[in-house]
Amino acid sequence: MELKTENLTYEYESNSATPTRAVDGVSFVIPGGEFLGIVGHTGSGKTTLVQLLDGLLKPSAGTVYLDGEDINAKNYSRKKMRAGIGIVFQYPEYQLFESTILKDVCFGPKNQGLKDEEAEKVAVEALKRVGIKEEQFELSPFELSGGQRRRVAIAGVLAMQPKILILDEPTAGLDPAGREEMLSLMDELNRDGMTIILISHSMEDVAAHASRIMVLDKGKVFLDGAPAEVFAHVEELENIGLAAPEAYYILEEIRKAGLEIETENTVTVEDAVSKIKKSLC
Amino acid sequence: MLKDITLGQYYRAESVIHRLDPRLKLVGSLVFMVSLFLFNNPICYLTAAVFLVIVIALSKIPVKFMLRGMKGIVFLLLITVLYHVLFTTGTVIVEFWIIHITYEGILNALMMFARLFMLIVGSSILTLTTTPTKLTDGLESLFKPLKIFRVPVHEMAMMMSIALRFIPILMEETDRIMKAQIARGADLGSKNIFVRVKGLVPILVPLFVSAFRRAGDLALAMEARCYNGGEGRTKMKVMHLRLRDFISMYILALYLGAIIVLGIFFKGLPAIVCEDMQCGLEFLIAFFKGLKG
Ligand SMILES: Nc1ncnc2c1ncn2[C@@H]1O[C@H](COP(=O)(O)OP(=O)(O)OP(=O)(O)O)[C@@H](O)[C@H]1O
Ligand SMILES: [Mg+2]
Repeated sequence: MELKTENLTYEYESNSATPTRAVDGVSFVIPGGEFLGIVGHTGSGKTTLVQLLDGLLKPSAGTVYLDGEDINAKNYSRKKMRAGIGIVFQYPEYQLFESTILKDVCFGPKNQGLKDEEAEKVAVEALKRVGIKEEQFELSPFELSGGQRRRVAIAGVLAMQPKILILDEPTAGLDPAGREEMLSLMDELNRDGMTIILISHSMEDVAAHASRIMVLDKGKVFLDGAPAEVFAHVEELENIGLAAPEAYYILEEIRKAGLEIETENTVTVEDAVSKIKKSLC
Repeated sequence: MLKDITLGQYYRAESVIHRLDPRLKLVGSLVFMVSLFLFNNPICYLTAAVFLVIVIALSKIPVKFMLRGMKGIVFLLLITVLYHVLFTTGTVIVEFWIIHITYEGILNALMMFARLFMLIVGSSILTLTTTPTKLTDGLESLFKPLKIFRVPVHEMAMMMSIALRFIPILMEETDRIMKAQIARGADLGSKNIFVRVKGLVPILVPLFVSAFRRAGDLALAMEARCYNGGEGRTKMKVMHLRLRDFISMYILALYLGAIIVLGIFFKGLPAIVCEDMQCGLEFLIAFFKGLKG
């Protein structure tokens, strides 16, 4: 499924004296199967943008196309769109409400019109996928730890089998192991053909996992391209309050200390390691 | 989605009324309400109306903004007017079936309308010109004497300000939860009432859970900073009565005095007005009959 926006704009409090333009004339195409990382300073409009993509907010101007169809058109089927796009909000663990984990994950599929047994089947699959064990299925969501609860919430969206999965800071507040697990789950889903749109504050995370990075600043697309391309603009990124991945800065320090080393195109830790090795031999 | 609802309808402006001490405004509103109920007399209502118009003008609140809050009570006003028009005994003008419309009824209806209208406008000035925080501070200070009777005045005021503080936060939270459940295919706009009520569960449960979590966190945070009730606690903003407050007090007293004097002096006015209305109407009828003939 291809997601496309044209001149997408959104204003909060549009009928007040001082509207906040959170998304400002954004146009891009996300082809199916891509792993897109969205980064940006706090308040740059990331959350607003993805809510527009999922039709939860109506654009003040511009259009969102899903497979060439305008999702805000009058006769467009919302159900079809929801089946296509899944969204996991910031701190999704606070949206759980059912008495057992399994029932909660069944909520989405049942809303899609699946029968009880079918819904249960996809729910079990989704729960296993995020690493929840079978003996925990009948527990109340409130008996789990925060990290586990988040996984259940993600399973709740996965169970709807979306083609495009949007995640708003899914790793916030997780421990390092939890982060890594979450990110490798996304890699895995992406390998199976799902489009992943990942919002993150961590340059390292998007650098290591995304195949394309979009940088937002004040509601506008500031940079858009492959990780190496985007992180080549270190100064511009620093000007808008962001930074390149740590690995780049470490190599810069090493270079300043006098070692002959090439620092360009350093995106991941692996890049850095191989470059250090090369310059040492 | 929920952003259109405004609670605590404070209107930001720079005016004398805004700057007045909240305690004085509270007492002033009470005095005004009482003054409306002291006498049922056209001249008293006229005085009150003049007083109200002056206060509104001083408060710099746009009339449109004031009247926006009246939409909800139009129905109530209508019922009151109808009730008085239809069920007051006296000199009959029109009579058919079981309905008698009397002069006294029309006058009563008009006066009741004026009374209710001014009551609501008057009390809305208080909330329009006073921030909720100042209002609670004012209430706490006014009710302090009740501490003798072991009424937990400070605790109640604290509860009120915390509740006010949390309304926007909970609204935001509701908005977020609603969006999350809509994204999971929840049907919130269904016409079927049962489906709709059932649709509230996925929103209310997380909302309550989060409200309790926040309450617990806040209680811990307050205890960690040694909060232990009102005993010996000082205020960050101490309220002082200033010259403008004393002047307003005199004006308020003058107003109340005027109402009482006018009310007693013109005691017979309603009856006279009715008679005048009767005369006037008869004159008009005679006049039109004369025109025809
Ligand atoms: N409900 C709202 N009402 C009014 N303004 C809002 C609302 N939500 C967001 N905004 C404003 O819109 C802008 C973009 O907000 P948004 O939440 O999209 O940013 P973000 O990039 O997701 O930030 P963060 O990284 O902190 O999550 C901000 O300036 C914010 O103040
Ligand atoms: Mg956000």
